[in-house]
Amino acid sequence: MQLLLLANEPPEDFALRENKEKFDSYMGEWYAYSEKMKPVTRNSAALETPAAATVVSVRNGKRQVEDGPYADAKEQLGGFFIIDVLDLDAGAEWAAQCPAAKSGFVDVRVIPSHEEHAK
Amino acid sequence: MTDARAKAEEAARASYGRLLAWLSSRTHDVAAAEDALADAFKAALENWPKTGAPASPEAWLLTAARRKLIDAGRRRQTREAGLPSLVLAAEEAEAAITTNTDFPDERLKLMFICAHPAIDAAVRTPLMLQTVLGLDAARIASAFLVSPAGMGQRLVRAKKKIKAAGIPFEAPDAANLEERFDAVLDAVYAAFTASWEGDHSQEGHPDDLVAEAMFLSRLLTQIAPRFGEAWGLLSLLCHVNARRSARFVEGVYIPLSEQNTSLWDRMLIAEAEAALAKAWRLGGQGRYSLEAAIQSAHAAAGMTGRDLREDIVILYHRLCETAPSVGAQAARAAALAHAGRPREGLSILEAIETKRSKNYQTYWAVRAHLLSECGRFADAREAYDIAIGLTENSATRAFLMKRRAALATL
Amino acid sequence: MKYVFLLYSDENVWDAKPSEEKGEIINGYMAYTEALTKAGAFIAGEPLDHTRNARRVRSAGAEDGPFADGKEQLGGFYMIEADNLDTALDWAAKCPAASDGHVEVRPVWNIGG
Repeated sequence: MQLLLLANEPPEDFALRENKEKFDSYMGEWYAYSEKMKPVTRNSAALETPAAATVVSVRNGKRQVEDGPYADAKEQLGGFFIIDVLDLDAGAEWAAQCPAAKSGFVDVRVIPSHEEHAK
Repeated sequence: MTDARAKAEEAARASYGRLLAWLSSRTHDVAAAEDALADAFKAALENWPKTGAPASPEAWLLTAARRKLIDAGRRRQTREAGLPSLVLAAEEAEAAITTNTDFPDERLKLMFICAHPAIDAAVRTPLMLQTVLGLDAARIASAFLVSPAGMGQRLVRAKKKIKAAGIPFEAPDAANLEERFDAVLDAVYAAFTASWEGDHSQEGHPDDLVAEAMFLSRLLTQIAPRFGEAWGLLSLLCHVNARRSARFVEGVYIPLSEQNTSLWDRMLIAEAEAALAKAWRLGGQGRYSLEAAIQSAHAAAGMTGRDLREDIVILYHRLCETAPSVGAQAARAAALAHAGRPREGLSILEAIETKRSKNYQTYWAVRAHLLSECGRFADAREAYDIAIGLTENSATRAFLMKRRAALATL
Repeated sequence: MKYVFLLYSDENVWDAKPSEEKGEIINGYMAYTEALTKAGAFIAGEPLDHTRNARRVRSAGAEDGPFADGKEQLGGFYMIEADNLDTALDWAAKCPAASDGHVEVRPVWNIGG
């Protein structure tokens, strides 16, 4: 089954991206993790910091645009992986090894198969 | 030394925004352009006293900034994609200087970016003051009554967002142009009102941003002359600013109807009238043009003694239709009272939702005045109490307390 | 630039909808995906199952859903290609989730250029 692993990081982790001394060790962990997960990974992406986020909604035909991420939470999405594994337990095991599981959390979400979704 | 310094400072005021807009439009990195420009100005202050000021200070500054951009690009090239665009910008700058052509004025694009809907509304005006005028965070913070560190962080964050989110250095497309231009005008207007709403009762208050707001407003009429509302805003600011010396006398707030009109600045009123005429010719029927027309009527009434109270009521009615807000409704109610129709004014106030009016100082001040005009003195006293409690400005507070005290004897 | 759209809406409202209405909404998404594809902007996109079938994992261990987040939950995502934020926002506003929920637009981080 296909799962979406959403790596949610605290602000301290996002700050490491701009920290000259600690950047390499921060990225090193992510590279190692992605490398290990390569056989099951279908797609992945890292996202710009939540400060670069913009929220759009349309109400009564009028567009509303707001600065910042949608969720008012400490941890924010820093990247995701789409993986193909046997079941949710296997997905949770991969999630537990994710660098974000230490400092933040990883959500494991089910991507429904197309037949299932049509139902 | 002082001459070179004066020359550098003059060049800074005149060209800062132009240079920064041009550099950032090429690099898409406002912060990097700011750093390079700051270094260039520093170098100017060091060199010009020795070598004399160059014939073209802008070209000199651009060349210096170009070198700084390349240096910065080299330092960052390992991790950032910015280097090619930095080098390209530097080459373009070089070409512009050597061929002696004028580099284009990109300040309007920069202002569109500062007032972009994806930028936090609270930081749009500070961002514009910093990028177009080169004001530092501490100065902006003091005008907006917030901490310099907090303001600095918000500005840094906004500049990062421009770069990381890919906000384009382009004028918006036709479908969004008007709305986006309104946001630019609102940001300039906010710089002006920051000066009026704070406690700026003393003349020449250091936190004053009136001169900056006037500069930005005049600039908009130069770089976007076909927008009627740009002229409308300029007219409004000139009219309000013209009454500056009459508005406070020895720290005491004087309402419009009691001002000594000989203290009004006739030059600014003339500029305001010319701008308003331009706004009308361009079909300006927007919020700022209407507000300017109202101020124009006040000016004419004050200077000629003509009774324009009903004209003002009509203009406020149109303003409430064009740009409905609690502030406009409260002002319309006050205009009705001024025209001898306080009961109609009160009914307008009473139609405003409680949740929108309950903490709004202007609403309570107007309500108190209208109640007293209607002879409801006990209710008026209560409304004055609320208005006084909601007032930040000490001169306004003193004025309201005087009004309330006058009621007590009735 | 690449942008990710995070689609937030109330999944319980979705659950309660009759199946014809769900079908219409799904058709709306299919049309949207088609429009993105025809414009050459589509890179990826998936819907997500209800959060009751999800897990939140911290190094301390896994927790089951439902998540105690806000009223609206992540219900799907798109990844698109766009010249700049303005183009991305134009697309985001056309996404059906913008009309019954919110779309968060996040640029993809281009690590190392």
